[in-house]
Amino acid sequence: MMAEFCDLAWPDAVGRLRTASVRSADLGEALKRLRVNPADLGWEGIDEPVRLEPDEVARRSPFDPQREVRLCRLVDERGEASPACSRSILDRALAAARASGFEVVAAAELELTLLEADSGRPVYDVIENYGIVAGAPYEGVMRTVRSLREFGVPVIGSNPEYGAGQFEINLAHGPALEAADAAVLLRTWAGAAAARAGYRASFAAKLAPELSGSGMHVHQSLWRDGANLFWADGELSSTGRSYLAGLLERMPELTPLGSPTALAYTRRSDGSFCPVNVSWSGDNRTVAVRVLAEGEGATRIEQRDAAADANPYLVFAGQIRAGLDGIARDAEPPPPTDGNAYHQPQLPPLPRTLAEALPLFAASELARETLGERAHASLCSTLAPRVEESLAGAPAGPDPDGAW
Amino acid sequence: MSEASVRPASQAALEALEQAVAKGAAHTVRVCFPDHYGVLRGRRLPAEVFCERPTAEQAFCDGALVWDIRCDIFEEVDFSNYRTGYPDLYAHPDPETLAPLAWADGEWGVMADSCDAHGEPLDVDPRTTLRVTAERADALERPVSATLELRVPDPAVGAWAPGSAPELAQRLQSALTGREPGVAAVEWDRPARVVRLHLEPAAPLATADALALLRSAARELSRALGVRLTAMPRLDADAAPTRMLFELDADGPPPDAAAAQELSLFLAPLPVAHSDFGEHVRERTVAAASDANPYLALAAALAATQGRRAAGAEGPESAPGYAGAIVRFAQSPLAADWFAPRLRHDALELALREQRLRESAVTEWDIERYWECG
Repeated sequence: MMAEFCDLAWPDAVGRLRTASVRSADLGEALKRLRVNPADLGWEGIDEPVRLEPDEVARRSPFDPQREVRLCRLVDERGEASPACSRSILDRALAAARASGFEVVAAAELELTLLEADSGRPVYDVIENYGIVAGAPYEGVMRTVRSLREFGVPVIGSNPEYGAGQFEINLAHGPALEAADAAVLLRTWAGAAAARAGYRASFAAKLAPELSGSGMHVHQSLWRDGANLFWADGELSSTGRSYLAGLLERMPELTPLGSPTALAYTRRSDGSFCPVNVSWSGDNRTVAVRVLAEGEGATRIEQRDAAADANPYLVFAGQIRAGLDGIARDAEPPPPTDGNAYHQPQLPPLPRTLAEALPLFAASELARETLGERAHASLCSTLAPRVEESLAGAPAGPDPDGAW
Repeated sequence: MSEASVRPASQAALEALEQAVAKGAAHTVRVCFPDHYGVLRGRRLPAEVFCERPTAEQAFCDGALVWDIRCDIFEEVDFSNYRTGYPDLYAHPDPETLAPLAWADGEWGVMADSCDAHGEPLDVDPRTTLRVTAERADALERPVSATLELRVPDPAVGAWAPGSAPELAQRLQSALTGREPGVAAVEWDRPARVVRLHLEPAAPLATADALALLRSAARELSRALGVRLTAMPRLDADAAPTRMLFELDADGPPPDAAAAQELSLFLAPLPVAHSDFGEHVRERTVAAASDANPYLALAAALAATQGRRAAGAEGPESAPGYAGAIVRFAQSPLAADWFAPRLRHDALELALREQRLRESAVTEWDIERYWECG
């Protein structure tokens, strides 16, 4: 039975969902009428109005049985993808993968901090990582978050994390576009679940110097005909190794996709479990990329540098392009890092500030290819003032447009 | 562990869970593993996700097995540190422990063994340590009767009233309903402000699981009722310490007092318990502190029944207090014989850390003394 209302939802530049709600019966007419200006979505310099093209798939709203949600792409009057359409940017990366015979499977692993609505302080002060009791008073929120699987967001578990009031949400892996969709829906609906319980859910990269940062780890693998191409006799395949090499080589120049705010760089400190250099290993939380060889079905690569408030479509697209670039060049990764990667000065450093990251990003052909010329230029011009502000000593804060 | 290895008893529990999910009576499964202090850690899964793969392992940072009581990590432990890179441990659910968590509406719980990437149990895993010790002591199925004491610090909540300590005690009495062992009896010792929970006799591993769950339930229920309840064994110098008591089966060998004293770091792992705790052994009962890791404490109790000191053998020097416990454990031939080297090493490092932190702390006592002497 058709829901009475339809929420059309599309990601803005920071991956936050913007919505327009219409009567389902009026959807066709509404789509003819509705126009969105990308500049209002944070895409500076892209200001020709675009139309919404909703997915065929409709999700029930977790909070209103009379409402369905359809994720949209942004298209121009000819039906071509807008340069400001984050989902289309990921589409293009996935098409490039398919052209090489690869299907990308991915999952985002996100952290959030639950805050008191009034004070903005975490709901509890102590660290009770994995504490099976710690989260109990907030189970109303987290149970709602876990129930989002009934609404197309495949949450498979949650636990308190290594920070005051911090929780980790695990999402099942799946086709990369669905995985990115799940991440943006999770952030939106987790925020709603918290608000309904009288709290706030923050995905900000870091809320205060003394608090743990929140990351978005991206798990990824390439498949063909139902076979995991990263798996070969119990270890990472040659395809996987080249993909890994691509991720590592391109990580510095693509950093702003996962860390688009000055605040995000405050996560990047020694011992923080946020990587600070180009490094990989089998299973080592001090490195930037973990290779998890956990059997044929589960062998995957986990890149660990992105912040929880980054745009998942752009993060996924950049990493997939980087990995494919490695495969195209038959690249070989450097030797794995043993031991504490924070104490190995010979490893190439990752940018520690937006000021370090932006010039690499601006000069990156891969970033330009990933985003498209206009989106790349737009993002560069959006980030430039933030660099100026941070160099002028402005305190790092959440994204002014995202405000997670 | 493969799906096929789900045993019939646990199959019944799984089917009961599936039925409860279908009826809307169950929504969450907590996969729990104990850390070094016996505090349950883990993850909440949607119940239907658990039912799809009930023996699927859950990955966690392995620092969880060697962090201190505040979850602070540090470099001196061998098992996991920045040099090892804090890789994953894999919590393998033990299907036989799947049952409702009676104190948490709609939630079920399953205990898990902490294993490495190859599925091998870790030598620092408390559940594994107890299982291995009990097996060696031929006590895997030998029943233990356990008692857990918890203190209510605020005297004002002692009266019978909603939100009172007696109400909390009653809620705890039913916290293990549907599990074995359950709570056989509960006492509210009003003068001592102690809730005393007596478990039904059960095998060692089931007993330790029940104690760990009971402490979790106590924390949750006390928060929900607004009654402070603590496993901290000493809150002031005048009160007797609260304890975790293990009465060992009469058919087995009795515990040896000197042996238990050597292992007192497993019976009372934090400094506060060590001032005037008294003897660990009285006839067949071994007394641990109420904040002890129930798995390691019970393992120590069982080792103390088997590792009796040979007549005339020289044991480690006995010294009072926490420092003495550390020295005794470090020098103990019994500990060396019965417990994995890495577990012993890391237990000692954790204890030394606690000792350093305590010695560097400025306490209320210090402050009072300063001002009194002004």
